[in-house]
Amino acid sequence: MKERFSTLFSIGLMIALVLSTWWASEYAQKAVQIDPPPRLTHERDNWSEKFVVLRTDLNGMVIHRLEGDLMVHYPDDLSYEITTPRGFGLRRDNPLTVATAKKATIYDDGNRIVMEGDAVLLRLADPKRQALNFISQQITMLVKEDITYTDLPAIAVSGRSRMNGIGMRYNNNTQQLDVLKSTDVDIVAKDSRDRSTPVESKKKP
Amino acid sequence: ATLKESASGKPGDPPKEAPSTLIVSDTLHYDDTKSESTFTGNVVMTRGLLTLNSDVLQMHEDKDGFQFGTATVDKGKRVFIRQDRPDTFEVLEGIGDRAEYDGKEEIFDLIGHAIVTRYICGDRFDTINGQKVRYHQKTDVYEAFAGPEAGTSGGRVRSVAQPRSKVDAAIAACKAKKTAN
Repeated sequence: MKERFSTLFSIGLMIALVLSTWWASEYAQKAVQIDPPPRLTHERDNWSEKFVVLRTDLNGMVIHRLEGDLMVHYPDDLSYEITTPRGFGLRRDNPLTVATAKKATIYDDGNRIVMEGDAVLLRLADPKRQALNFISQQITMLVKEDITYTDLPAIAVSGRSRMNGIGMRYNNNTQQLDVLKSTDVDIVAKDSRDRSTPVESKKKP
Repeated sequence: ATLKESASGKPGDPPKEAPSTLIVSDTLHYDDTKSESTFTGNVVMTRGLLTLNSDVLQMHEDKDGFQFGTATVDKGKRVFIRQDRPDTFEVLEGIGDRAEYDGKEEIFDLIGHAIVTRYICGDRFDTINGQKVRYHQKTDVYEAFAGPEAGTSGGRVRSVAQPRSKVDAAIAACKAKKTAN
């Protein structure tokens, strides 16, 4: 009977020791504020003016350049807001693109950029293709996929032809443009002079 | 067999400025690498005084910038083309299973159960049925070709044409009516 009592007593002592140790550690953590919790409100925590951000590929070649007048970071959604942004798509095997707007917001570690306010995406002309110009009040750019899209009314201008529609999606890898609704296209014929006779040089008066 | 019908185009007219092409549709897929556009859903193409209605219109551009198009429709429907000629109070209306457009030569082909009808002042005058009816926009000439899908007995071209005098009388009456209004 005596041994049983001593066994039970030592087990009880062990349990008490564990509980008190756990309580002590909890108390200590609550008592001393180690580092303040991050402020999760939509208030800027860092910003920069007249900035340039470059993104390179694995070989160190610049594939994307972003510049603007002011860039502000928000801790709650880890987004960046840019005033008068200018984005340049510089991938070697894709046509060059330039995107401008009044304001841009960057999400997902820089992969998704929402350009707002007279947003324009210009795909520069190259020996094979005319320039393609893409205008809307809001344009979203997926940088890694090199895709640009909008759900709002948009106008795409290629050469002298013009495409209106609601909702557009342009894939710069494959150079395919989709107009999702209410397409209205005006394909201007080439000048009849272009086709028939060469233009005589203008005589000076 | 082919049948040619010419309209009143005066020789020596100065080359008209090529009109632009307006296309309205539900959706558009534009392939910039090949300069190819695919318009889908309630497609209406307008080029000058010519209008085309179809379900799908595929357009591509050659290196000189000329447009070429193929218009198709869902089963049971027909491509519809309408060409206005206000100076002679005429309207040409054509239907067919498929339409092809050559912007360089300015030629329209209606292919498969093709029927072209000429109206003057709203009254039906000439009708041509054939496997294919070709319309030359530049010279206002249309031709019909026979074939198995002509929709006529034996696949032959079938044409109903009113006498010239009746046509001229109708145009004169229409002109008088218009000036009277």
